Amino acid sequence: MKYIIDPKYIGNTVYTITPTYKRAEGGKFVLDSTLSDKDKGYLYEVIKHEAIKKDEKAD
Amino acid sequence: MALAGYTKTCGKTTSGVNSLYLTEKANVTSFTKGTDRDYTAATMVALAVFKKYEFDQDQCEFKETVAMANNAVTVTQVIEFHLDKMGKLAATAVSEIIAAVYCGIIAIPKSTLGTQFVVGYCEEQLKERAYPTIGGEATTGKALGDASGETVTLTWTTTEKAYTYSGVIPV
Repeated sequence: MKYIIDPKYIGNTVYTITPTYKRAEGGKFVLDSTLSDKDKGYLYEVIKHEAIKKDEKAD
Repeated sequence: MALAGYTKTCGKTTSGVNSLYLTEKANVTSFTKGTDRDYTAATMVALAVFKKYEFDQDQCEFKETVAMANNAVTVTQVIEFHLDKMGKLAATAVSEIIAAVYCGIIAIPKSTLGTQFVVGYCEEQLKERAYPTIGGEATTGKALGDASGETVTLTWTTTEKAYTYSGVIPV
C-alpha cells in the first residue's frame, strides 16, 4: 500500500472534484478502510488533500 | 501578494444566486486549498452534509464589502434570501438557522454562472469567523398579490474575500 489516511480524519467524508476515472460515487470519498489505493492516490497527488500521507513503510 | 493586473474575459454574464447550502460549523473539518483562491475539497465529519435552502428565482443575493478602519481590513459577507409563504415551514427553517447561528454556520451560495463561494471559512481565519449575525422579516403581505414569506439576512465579518469552491456540494 502506497498511501495511508491520517488517523484524525478517519470517518470523515471528502467532497471534491470528480476524478476522470470511472467511479460510482463521483467526487465523494469516505475516509475509511474501504478507500482504494487509487482513490487515495487521487486525493494525495491531484487534490493534495491533507488527510492522505505517503506510506513510508511501503517504499 | 504582488499586483498582477486584471484581464477582462469576453463571454456571456448573468447575475444572481440559484442555490444556497448551509451547514453548522461543527460539521466541517476543513476545506482544501487548490491553486489561487479556490477550494477543491470540503471535508465533512461522518454523515454530515450541507442543507439546501430553496427560494423563488431572483430571491437570493451574496455580496461582499471591504472596509478599512484603524489600518485594519474587514470583509463583510452578506447572504440574503427569501423563503416563500409565511407559516410553519418557513418559521421552522428560520428558527433552525437562528439556533445554528450561535454555534457557527458555513454557507455555499452558487451563482447563476455556476461559481460556488465558501462563506464563513477562509484560509486566514479557518472556522474562527463562522459566526454570522442574523436579521430578517416575515410578512403575510397586505394585498392578494403581495409577497408572503420570510426574508433572512446572514452577515459574517472576516479578513479575506470569499474563496471559490470547485468540488461537488456535500449533500
